[in-house]
Amino acid sequence: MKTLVGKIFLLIMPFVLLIPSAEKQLAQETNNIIEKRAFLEAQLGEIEILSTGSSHGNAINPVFFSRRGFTLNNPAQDLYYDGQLVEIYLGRMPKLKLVIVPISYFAFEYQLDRSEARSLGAYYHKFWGIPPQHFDNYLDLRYYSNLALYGWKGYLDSLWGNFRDPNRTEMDASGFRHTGMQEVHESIEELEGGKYSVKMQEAGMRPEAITENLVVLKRLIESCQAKGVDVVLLTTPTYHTYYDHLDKERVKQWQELIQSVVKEYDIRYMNYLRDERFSSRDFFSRDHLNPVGAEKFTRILEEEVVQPVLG
Amino acid sequence: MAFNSFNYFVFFPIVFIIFYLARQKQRWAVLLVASIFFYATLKAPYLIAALGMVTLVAYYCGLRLAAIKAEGGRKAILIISIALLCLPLIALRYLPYLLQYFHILEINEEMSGGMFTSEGLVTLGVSFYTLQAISYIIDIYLEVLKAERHLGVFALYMCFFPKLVQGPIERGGELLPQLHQPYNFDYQRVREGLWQVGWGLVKKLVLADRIALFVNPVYDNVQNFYGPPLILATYLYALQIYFDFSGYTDMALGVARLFNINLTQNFNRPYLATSIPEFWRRWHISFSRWILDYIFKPLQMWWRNAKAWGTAAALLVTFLFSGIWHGVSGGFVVWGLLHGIYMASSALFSQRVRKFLKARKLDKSKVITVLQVFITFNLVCFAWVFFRANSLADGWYAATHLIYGVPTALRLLWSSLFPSVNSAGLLEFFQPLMLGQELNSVLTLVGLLAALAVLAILVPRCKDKHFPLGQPTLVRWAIYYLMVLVILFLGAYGTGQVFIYNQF
Repeated sequence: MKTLVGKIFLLIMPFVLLIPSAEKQLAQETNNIIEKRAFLEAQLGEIEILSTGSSHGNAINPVFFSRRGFTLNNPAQDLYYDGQLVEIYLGRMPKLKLVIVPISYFAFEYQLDRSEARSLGAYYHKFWGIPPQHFDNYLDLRYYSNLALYGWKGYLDSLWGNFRDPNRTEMDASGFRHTGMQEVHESIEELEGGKYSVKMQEAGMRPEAITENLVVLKRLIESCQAKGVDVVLLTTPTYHTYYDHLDKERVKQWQELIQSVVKEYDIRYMNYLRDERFSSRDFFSRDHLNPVGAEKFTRILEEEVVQPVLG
Repeated sequence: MAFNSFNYFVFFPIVFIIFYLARQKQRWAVLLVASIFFYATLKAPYLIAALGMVTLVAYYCGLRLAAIKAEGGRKAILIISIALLCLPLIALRYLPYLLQYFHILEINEEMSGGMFTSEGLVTLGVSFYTLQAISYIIDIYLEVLKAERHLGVFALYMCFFPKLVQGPIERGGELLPQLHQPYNFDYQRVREGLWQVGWGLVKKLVLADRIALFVNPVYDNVQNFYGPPLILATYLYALQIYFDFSGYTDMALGVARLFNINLTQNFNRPYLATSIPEFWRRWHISFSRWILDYIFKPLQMWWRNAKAWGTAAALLVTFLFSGIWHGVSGGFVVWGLLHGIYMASSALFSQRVRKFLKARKLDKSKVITVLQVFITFNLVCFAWVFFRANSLADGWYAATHLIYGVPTALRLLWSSLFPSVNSAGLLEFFQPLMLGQELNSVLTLVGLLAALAVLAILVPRCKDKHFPLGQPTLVRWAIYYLMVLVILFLGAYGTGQVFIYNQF
């Protein structure tokens, strides 16, 4: 047994000794969260419109607002992280007047910490100081270690100068992400694929998350209203091969939940889910606008939301 | 916890150390507690209840069967016990799906106390240990096995953690005696076990999960593909599922070896089979033995008067069961049916084919052998189309569009090579075959598969039966470090790929 333990020790020791060097090396690398935070904090004093949300939130390109805007959306982001991000910066944006919160079909039943994307929670924890929503995520090594987050391959790439965070996409100073969303995919016309897309989203939806998500959304609204900041909820445009497959009972419940919040806090809700002003050319996938569609949508929001709310 | 997770690599060494330090009489208890803890980490208490029920039913019915001599009584206990053993499996895996499918009852998650999600119940392991319990009962009935009297050891037989979630399905006669053997630390065995775990990790993390990155974009949007890319994705899926499942099995067998327990080998180079029956003697061996012994043989006996047709019918039913065992969805049923048709055809015609080849002295021809391997592999891959497809409609589409566009692609390739090489044409031919992945990803995968092919040829020729453990120290340690480097640097981490057979 001693021989075995000795040999295992001999085998893993070189790698263990490399860990501190790997952590230090990887700490120098950047990712979307670091980048977005830097962009945001460089213009805190100027921002008047903030939007949040998951990848659906990338339907808003703040560059096309008449006032300075920033989008805090990130792929797989849930209402908890929306709320946390807004609360961090609410008191640091003196000119902030409007917060736009996209509420997608899955928003009330989805929690990042409980999804397959839970590893992304590590980015919020490490680079934004936001704790995970659920305690057991603290057991995830990625919350503490860059090596666990990026892997040994990431370390090797970093040494060679080829590092690229797999979750990273190009973004501009307003937080809007560009890369990979330029083209229209012919597949969005395909009905079976739309059914599958919805099914995949529904696989990550959990009705028991509704209560917690309502709490975090209400807290977000209350915090904003306490600072005199307006909140608008909205649902971003989708293509018919997506919305045709949504579960009717779930849609009904989702809309009822939104309306209950709207009534309680006397705020606006704009539903663009089936908006016919958007054609296939505006979409990258069945439920994501491409930059062309995002520009169109943002201009519509300027007219239908920003101007009426802010004047 | 998954076998390829960090938590598992903290868990099993701790279990091993406690097991090693425990007294001989307590060791079964250490493994039992560890196994229950392992299952509990799935956070599905109803699974523990299902396992408990199956264990207790099999244990008590086994003892009753052994005690009763009257044939009528034994038969009654046999039937009742099998029915009771199947209850959790039906209730957890099939009933919710059927009730939802026929709109008899709308079950939601709140109503089911968190047991039922929109994608169905978590049923990890239920299919495997249910079959194991049934084999135990039947073996006692047939008097080829004595009933286990020690409840703790029997419970360990049912839930031994390396094989709990994805098998192998162990026969009582093979595993129970090992659980009674006193444990002696065997350094050589532990080395072999750890090597096997490492090799399993390479198969899962480096190969299977990497291949999945190529397969998933095609099969998740299958109706956007046809011809060569679809064929390539199908071949790659065949490799993916083999590396995934055999990788898991290697890890299970390797960990079990640490505790001086030999589990059943589940794979034996299945894609080198020269016929479908031979494929099933090499693929998921513990399962194919189970369906052969407990479904096919009784059916064949009942239908023996129909001779070859009776055998063919028995095979069809057996493999239909196999499909349904994997899942209720149309794709699995079609997959099972296809293999049933293959096996039935083999039963009806293989003898004639053998006579034909023998008459022409081709039966020992290497060319014929290669052709047989090629045909068998393609038949298996065709069936995998339905196994992998997200729906029956997708499976049908893929099956009917595999060769669509192939003649055009081949003409393009030909014209790009002759009379002179045309790089634009070659690019047009090869570009779809990259399946949307970057060049370095493609090259990495090709390199890994080429290295594996070289190993597959060289290792069997090596005199060292436990390669590389019999090699000189320097060579051995170089291989160990290479393995660790490959796992660390070439593993497809963060892809979220679970073991494929976790879903069964």
